[in-house]
Amino acid sequence: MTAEKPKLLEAEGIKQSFVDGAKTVEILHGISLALDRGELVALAGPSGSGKSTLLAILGGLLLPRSGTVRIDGVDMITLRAHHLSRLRREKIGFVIQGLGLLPAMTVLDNIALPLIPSGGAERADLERLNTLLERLEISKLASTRIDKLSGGERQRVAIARALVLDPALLLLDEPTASLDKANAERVLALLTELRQSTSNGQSENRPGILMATHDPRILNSDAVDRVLELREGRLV
Amino acid sequence: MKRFLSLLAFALASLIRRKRRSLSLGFGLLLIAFLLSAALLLHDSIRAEYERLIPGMAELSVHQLRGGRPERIAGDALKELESHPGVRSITPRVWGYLYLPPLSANLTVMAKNGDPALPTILDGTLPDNEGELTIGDRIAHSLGLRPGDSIALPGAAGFQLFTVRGVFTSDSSLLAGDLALFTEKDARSLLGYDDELYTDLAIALSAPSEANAIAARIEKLLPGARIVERSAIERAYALSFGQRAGFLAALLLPILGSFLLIAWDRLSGSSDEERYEAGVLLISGWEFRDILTFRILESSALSGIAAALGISLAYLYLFIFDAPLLADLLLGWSSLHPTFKLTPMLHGSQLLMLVAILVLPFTAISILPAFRSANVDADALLRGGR
Ligand SMILES: Nc1ncnc2c1ncn2[C@@H]1O[C@H](COP(=O)(O)OP(=O)(O)OP(=O)(O)O)[C@@H](O)[C@H]1O
Ligand SMILES: [Mg+2]
Repeated sequence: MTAEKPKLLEAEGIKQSFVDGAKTVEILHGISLALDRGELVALAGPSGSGKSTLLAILGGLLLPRSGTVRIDGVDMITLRAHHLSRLRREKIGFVIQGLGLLPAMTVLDNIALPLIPSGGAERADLERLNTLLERLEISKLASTRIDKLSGGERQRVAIARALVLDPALLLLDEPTASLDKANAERVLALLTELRQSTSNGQSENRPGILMATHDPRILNSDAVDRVLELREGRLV
Repeated sequence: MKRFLSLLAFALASLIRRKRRSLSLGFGLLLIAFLLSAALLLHDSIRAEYERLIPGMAELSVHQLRGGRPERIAGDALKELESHPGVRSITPRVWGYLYLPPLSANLTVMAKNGDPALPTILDGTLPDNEGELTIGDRIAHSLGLRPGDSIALPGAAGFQLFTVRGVFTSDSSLLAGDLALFTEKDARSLLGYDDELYTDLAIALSAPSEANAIAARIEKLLPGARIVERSAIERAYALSFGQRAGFLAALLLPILGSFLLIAWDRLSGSSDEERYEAGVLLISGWEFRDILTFRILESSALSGIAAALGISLAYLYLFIFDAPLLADLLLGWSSLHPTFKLTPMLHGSQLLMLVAILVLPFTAISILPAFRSANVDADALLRGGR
């Protein structure tokens, strides 16, 4: 058992369907995939193919109809609710398609949200937050309200928040969809840099990154290790 | 603790962020808190007045007030009033309470006097000599006393021995079941009255309709006196909370009110906002219990602040401003006796109960949606976005 270190993320036979009125619509027909630390993998597929649904399942936000998802060898699907939310907190950073920012709060307050349950931002945390802001080039916006920001700036705030707790697995849903070329490149450069080193510089803790996207600028980039394509509920 | 404080700070910030909602909900809660506390405080202080009256079979009783507290009064303080045609008699009285440890209850000690409304004696007679007492049948029963028995009472200067001379019926609602009559000298020594002053003056009227005129006269003669009209208190007592039903209704008010407020809040779309917010917190690594704690803190902070303000306002309204409108409506006092003041009272237990019935239902009702939504939030957020 201990011979081989479990992969960061392993999913097997994920099926998902939704009830739409009288009929049940199958979205995912048995997806299996694996991701290791330090990998940057893109999940491609046309709109409506189920990319967001798959990410939500991998991130423990949505329960699949069947299949298993393991993070560092721990089966997420059978975990009890409070253990699952603990695991999510400890291991997973998530940037959803709609970003999920609180518009009436400032950039810094949004980014500090993950720290609140553990007692709020302390001095050491503030330093980390500032480093993150700098890295994402949004330092100047720290005390600006979200609803005053551009799309690209919001995107970076959402990424910064997903990184605050140093996740092992970073899931991003369309991180460049609404961005111009410069901003898209900036995000990609950041992700490339991220998987090479964590904020504390320990290489064995490099995060694995999985992002859903149909942005050709990403899909064709050298930075991406693999492209998984989701088509009609299967990976091709 | 750190987690709690930081969640509390976040809850307060969130209340401030949603200012309009917080203010309108808070105002509704404050109104409920005010009404409920005014009703309960009024109830309790009317009952206290009522109980204070009990030894007095008097239609009007007059206390001296000093610094808002009853003080003893000179027996001839209202001598000039004796000749008034509306006054049948003025009787200075000596009475007070004696704590009886074995019963953990009070004994109302009163000097027998020439008051016309004497209790019906069941057995024996009224005390004639020092060292004798006549007691109500209820307390006689609970102490197992019959005429001829002896009892030692813890007076102001130590235990004093008394012989039971008689037992009277305490069925009349105007008589305390715990009343004991003594000679004036014994009553004074039990209560520690070492001067010539009296507890109050009991005034018997020639006709009940004279109450107004007499009260007005007393007011002139003794500014700062406190005049209690028995019939007004009785009326108020019966009117306000004579029965349990009224009391229960008062308890249901905050629950019903909270329901309405929350229903209004949900209808006005704040549940969508809260679901979105909960989803955001969820993807920000909050655990379910964090979100729940945050919501509970948010609701209880809001209702707690509203309750504190409502209770304080009710206190001010009743005891500092003498309950304008309500007093007129319920008691007709203020127009009768401008100096009649409710004795301020607010006990810890009252306060605790008020806070509990104001904060708990609202908090409980408002976290239900949080429970329900926690699972759906993420899903709604994933596709709803913003
Ligand atoms: N809770 C749900 N109930 C019903 N249908 C759903 C639900 N969630 C997703 N779907 C459907 O599943 C399909 C896949 O949705 P999903 O959001 O995963 O696609 P996507 O690949 O992320 O698309 P896009 O590129 O536009 O973001 C869609 O047809 C969507 O309508
Ligand atoms: Mg999507």
